[in-house]
Amino acid sequence: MSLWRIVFKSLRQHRLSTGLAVFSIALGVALLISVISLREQSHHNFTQEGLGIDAVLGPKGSPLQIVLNALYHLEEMPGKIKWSYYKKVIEDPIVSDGIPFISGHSFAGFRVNAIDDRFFTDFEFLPGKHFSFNRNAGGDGRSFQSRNEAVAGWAVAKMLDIKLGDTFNPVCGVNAGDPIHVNDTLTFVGIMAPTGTPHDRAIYIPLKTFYTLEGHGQDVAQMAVDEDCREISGAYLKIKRIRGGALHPGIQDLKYNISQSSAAQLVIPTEVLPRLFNIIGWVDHILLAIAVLVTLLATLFLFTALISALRERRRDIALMRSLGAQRRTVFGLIITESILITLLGGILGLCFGHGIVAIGSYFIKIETGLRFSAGYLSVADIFVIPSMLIMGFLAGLLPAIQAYRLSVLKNLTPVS
Amino acid sequence: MLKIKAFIRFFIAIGFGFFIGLTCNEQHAGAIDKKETTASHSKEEEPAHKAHHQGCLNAIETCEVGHAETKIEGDTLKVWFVGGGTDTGRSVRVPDQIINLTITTPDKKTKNLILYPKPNILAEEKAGDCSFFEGKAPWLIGLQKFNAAGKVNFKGKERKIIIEYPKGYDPD
Repeated sequence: MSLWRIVFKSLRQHRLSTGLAVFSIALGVALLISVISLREQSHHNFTQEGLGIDAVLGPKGSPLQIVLNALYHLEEMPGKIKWSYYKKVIEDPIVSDGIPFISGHSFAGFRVNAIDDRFFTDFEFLPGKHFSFNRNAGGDGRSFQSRNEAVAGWAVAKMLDIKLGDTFNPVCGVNAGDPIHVNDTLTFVGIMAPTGTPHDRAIYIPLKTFYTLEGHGQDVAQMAVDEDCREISGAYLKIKRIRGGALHPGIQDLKYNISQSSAAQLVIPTEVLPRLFNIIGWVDHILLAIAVLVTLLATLFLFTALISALRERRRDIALMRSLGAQRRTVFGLIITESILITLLGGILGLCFGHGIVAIGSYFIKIETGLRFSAGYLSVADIFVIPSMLIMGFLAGLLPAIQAYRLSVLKNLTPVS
Repeated sequence: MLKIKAFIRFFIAIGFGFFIGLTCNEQHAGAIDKKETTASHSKEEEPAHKAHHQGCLNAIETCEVGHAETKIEGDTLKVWFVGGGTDTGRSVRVPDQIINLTITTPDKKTKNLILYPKPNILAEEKAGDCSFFEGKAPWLIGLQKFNAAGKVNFKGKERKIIIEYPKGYDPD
């Protein structure tokens, strides 16, 4: 009978404790994989891509608040900026384009942003990628062309079951209980194809429609026709590139120049977002610690299972020794069992972990518009199998040494 | 038994290696995150003696009064007047229409350079209420090191400007 056969027979004989050990290790590993994968992908989504926006021109206030509102349709803008100032900024030699927007309205919990119609043609939601209404890509209809038209992001349309021709009345505010523009009914003429960005979670209306919504007052209505008094929440800016596609180095000078004014500030998302992770970074450290703890506890469980199994098998091992098995064979048996259990747990945990990420990414996409991938290979994927081998060896080491030192004579003594 | 012990030691060494590798990767990523955060953090919230235009800071009388950030680009000498102490990211406007600088080059030659205001339109500056000055001269091209002196009406008082390029001037 070969060593492997003995190992598999032993595992089958103790199938309950083996199964429990495999399951608990798989659980710990799955937690570890999913936490690290989601953490790395979050970091990538929030910091590295910049969501296609080089800079946001916004009012004075918290830069983080401006980025959260402009990029993720969260929070509120801390004020307004003058249209005339925006025009001055886009005349700067390093600015290639600007798309003004006004935030502050909502519908059914989703933000309604008034925006320039070039948003749908010139804006890059990711570097090199433009919005689309292509049916084959999951979109429908077209962008707005008149005052009473609106466009829905893909996630909004899916969650509210919006079809072309449906109407809605925007809410003047983003909080529950804010007044509704009952006399301003807008019609959905377009649904954007999914982009995997937070822009899927917003509704867009024409910029000038905002000023003429009933209830905003004559002063605001005047802004629709008079650029001198017009105000906006902010603008997405596209900065010129230099060789190699890098941002023009003059962006820092532009940022400095704008910051000296009392009117506005320039916020560069890739500079601000790492600070967000600094603030919440401790949360994923704790999650990681919990996942590591669960895995260690699972290994401890395996260790105790092996120790108790060894007690039951003393006579069997003594018998094997008396039949010619060497000490190192017995040692190897226990170690192999332990490594097999942890390896199996590790492989199952890998599958469970990616399954958790797959389920989580679906809900994250619906809730935030951000795209996470179940197939993403994180640092944990590379180290999990070797780590399981090591942990299996360590968990089985003491029982294996005990088996190695087992006295044949003592354990073959008749019991009755 | 000796072989078993050697085997165990070998396996433990491999185990530590992997553990350290996994931990270091997380720490390194954390360090990178921290570096990125620190870099971006320093750009926004660590203005203490930070030259926002990658020039050199020269204290005007004392560090607390203000600074003249100086930089040479090609044939142009650029000077930004900024706040003192931790406020080097805030511009300070001066009423001077021109600023005369006497520049001493490393070969002990002295030359005069006139700086003209270049108002920051985005901050609604104008000549006579301006924080940024420029002066051009062909002999500035390739000039790596110099000392300069001049005068400026800074924060309501006529003050001396001392520039030590590229290390900066800090009498404190």
